[in-house]
Amino acid sequence: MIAVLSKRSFLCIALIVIVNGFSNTRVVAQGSPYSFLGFGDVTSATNSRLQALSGTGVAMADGFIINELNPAALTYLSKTQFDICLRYSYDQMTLGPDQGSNYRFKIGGLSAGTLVSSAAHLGVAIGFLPVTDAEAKTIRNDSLGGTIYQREGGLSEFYLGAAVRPTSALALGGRLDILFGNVRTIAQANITGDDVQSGIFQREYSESGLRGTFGFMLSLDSLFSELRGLTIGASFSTASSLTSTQRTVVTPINATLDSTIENSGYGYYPSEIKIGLAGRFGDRFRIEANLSAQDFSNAHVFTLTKDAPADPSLGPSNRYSFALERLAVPIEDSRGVSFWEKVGLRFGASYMLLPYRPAVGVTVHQLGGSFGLGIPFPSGSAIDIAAELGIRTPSDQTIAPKDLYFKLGLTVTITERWFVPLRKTDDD
Amino acid sequence: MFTSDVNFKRPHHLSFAALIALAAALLITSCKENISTIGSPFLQDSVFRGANTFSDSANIRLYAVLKQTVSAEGIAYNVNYSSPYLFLGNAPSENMSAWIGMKIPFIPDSTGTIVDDSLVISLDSSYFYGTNPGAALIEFDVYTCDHFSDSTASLTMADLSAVPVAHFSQTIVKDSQQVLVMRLDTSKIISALRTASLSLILVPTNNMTAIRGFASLENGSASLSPYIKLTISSTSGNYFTSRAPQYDFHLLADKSTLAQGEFGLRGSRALRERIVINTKQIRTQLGLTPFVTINSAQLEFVSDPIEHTSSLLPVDTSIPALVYRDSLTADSIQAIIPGSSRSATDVNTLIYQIRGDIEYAVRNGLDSIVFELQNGYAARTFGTTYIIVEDYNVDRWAFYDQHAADPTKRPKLLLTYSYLK
Repeated sequence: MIAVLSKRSFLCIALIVIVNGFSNTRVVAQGSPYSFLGFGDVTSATNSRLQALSGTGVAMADGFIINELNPAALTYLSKTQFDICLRYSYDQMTLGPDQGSNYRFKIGGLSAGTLVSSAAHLGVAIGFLPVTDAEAKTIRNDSLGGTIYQREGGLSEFYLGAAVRPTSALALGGRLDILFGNVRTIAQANITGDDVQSGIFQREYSESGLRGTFGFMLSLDSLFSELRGLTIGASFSTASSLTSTQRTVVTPINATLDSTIENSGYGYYPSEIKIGLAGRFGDRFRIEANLSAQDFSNAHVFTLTKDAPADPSLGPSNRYSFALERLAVPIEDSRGVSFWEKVGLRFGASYMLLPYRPAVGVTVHQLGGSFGLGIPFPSGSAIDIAAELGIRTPSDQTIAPKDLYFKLGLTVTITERWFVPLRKTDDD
Repeated sequence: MFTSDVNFKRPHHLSFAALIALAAALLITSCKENISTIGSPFLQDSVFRGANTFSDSANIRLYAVLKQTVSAEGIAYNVNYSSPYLFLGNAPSENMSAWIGMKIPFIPDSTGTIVDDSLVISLDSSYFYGTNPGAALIEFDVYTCDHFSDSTASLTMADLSAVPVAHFSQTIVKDSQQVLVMRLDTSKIISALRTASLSLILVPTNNMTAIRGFASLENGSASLSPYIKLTISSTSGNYFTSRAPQYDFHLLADKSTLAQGEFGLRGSRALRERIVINTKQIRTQLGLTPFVTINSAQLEFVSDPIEHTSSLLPVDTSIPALVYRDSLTADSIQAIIPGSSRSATDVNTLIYQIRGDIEYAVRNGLDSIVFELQNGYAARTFGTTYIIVEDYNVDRWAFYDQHAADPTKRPKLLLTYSYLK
């Protein structure tokens, strides 16, 4: 009976959030002003559990998550599960006397994973994840009027990953990432005056490419018994040469003259390395620190030739994060445990040198903190909630804006137990 | 195992989770958007916008055109063919005179002996053109002509019979609806009625100092159309029969002059102004790509109100039309831009929005596009061909041209455009 009630409640809550989310996607989708540069904002983590840990989780050997940060973690999957992630963010930016605010709501990703072989600890996963968010909105004014620019889209990936444990202490994993996406800018040039029509322009860059992601996790107590509870993990994503197509859609006043101009070219998305060290204390507490680095110096969304100079508005990026987590009580042990004792609690903090170089010699730094809850359901499913607050500060605030951001994330996890028949039949 | 031993008490954590969900929903929906200029310096795909005014002869050239026939589907029509009005009279202040011509149908011998005939025309009650509203005298002579055709563009007294076959004189004040009947000199036209070449030409005398309107064959009401009333002798006595003209129209002799630096438009005179816009020059000068969006292209003309004259009651469109013609075949009409507007700040400024034509020319790489400014117009469909029938009113518009002493009054093109860099 408890399972029946939980499923209904779970559905009800999930439905409220999802419907609310989708209703907002109709309104607007935009984000940080820095998303006008390059591929936009790099998505550090889409799963709300990882988001609540400030993107920390490269060394997370946990069977209750499809870990997107390190494919080696797939070997720890204990059951079949399906994740859907929703994200909301709000940016408030300041540059001198000018202030603006944007918000957006998006699907954060879809993932499905399962343990294929218990003997070999072979875990596999498949899914769709956003890699970058290139969403922003601004207005440029001149003597003729204002032009509204809206950038949309970003780079995404469809992935297929697998991991094994050749020894009990070592996990190895790999993932094939099929990169794809559109980064488009829509401009509406409004001209002041009577009997004047706006001009609508659209330029989009369609990207596609492949990259591999490889990772490992190692329990350090296999090396030294004194290091019990410590795990080291790392992952590396290769760089990807992208096939990039530039499309300019011209929508003149005379509708019969609508046309699309297409140019084929090249894009480049850089490699990324992530290293994590995690420790576990007692049954329920774990801490982890991560370092990641990605050099966007040679990245470009589109160039006509392979040897074209790199985008000067991008540069190296690195990220440091730290997290503390109290794990949720396993379902089988949760009877009689209070709600607050049962749920998982997460805290995280991060510092990041963003890849943006809005002007020569100007860098942008990001400092953020996060918090989250993991609410387990008797059915084995779960809802993870994350909240992030942070600030992006340029080294020269007279040139580039300060951006205060707030993010919410929600991940609904449906496990294999969801599919257990509700009623026992006479044959059972 | 999941059956009826049910405890429906809602667990506390569910209420909490629902509360969080609702709080998040409220938070999300309460956030407001405020678009700012922040981020605009980072744009890599930006729109360039420009505004330019062209008035010099390198970009716009104007030519006076006089064209009194319209060609549609291979048939030449007189300028006021299909006009519902026929104009007759004089406007001495403008040195202008309007005549009416009617082609009389062939009357065969089988019709019988014609013993008497009259011309009947119907006065339009309200139309009146002239500087003196009290000039109510309608006085004219009726002549015959044997070489009058549907493409006749001009006539002189030398083309007409030496003496008139009828004379009419009557004072009829404006706003009077009246049918004018004049008895023709049968002895002078009896033989011509049996031929196919007889036409009647109505010529106003100098005593008629206004132009009055009469119903034509195309006036829309058969009872108002002009006709010849014949009295036929037969063995059983005389009887009456009537014949409508084959076609009719009026001709206008306009000898008025305008000041230097101005050009005039007169519909019935087919006096037009041709405007050639050098789109190649504009494209080169502004560095425009074929994919530019023309947000606005206003062609402006400033009229001289002193030289503008019009009837007390316009018979049709009172503002000149702009006609777009193909630059290669200048006689093929591509579009009509009747939707001019008067400037809000100056009622004497007429503005034509031609952004679609400029955009088309730039996109297709045309060297130039050609427009014609016409005084009034009437759109007609002949078969599948949509044409402008030349204007049939005698109103005059005078505009400053490119040689006007005041540069601000010269015709100009105000162009606003944008394109993605």
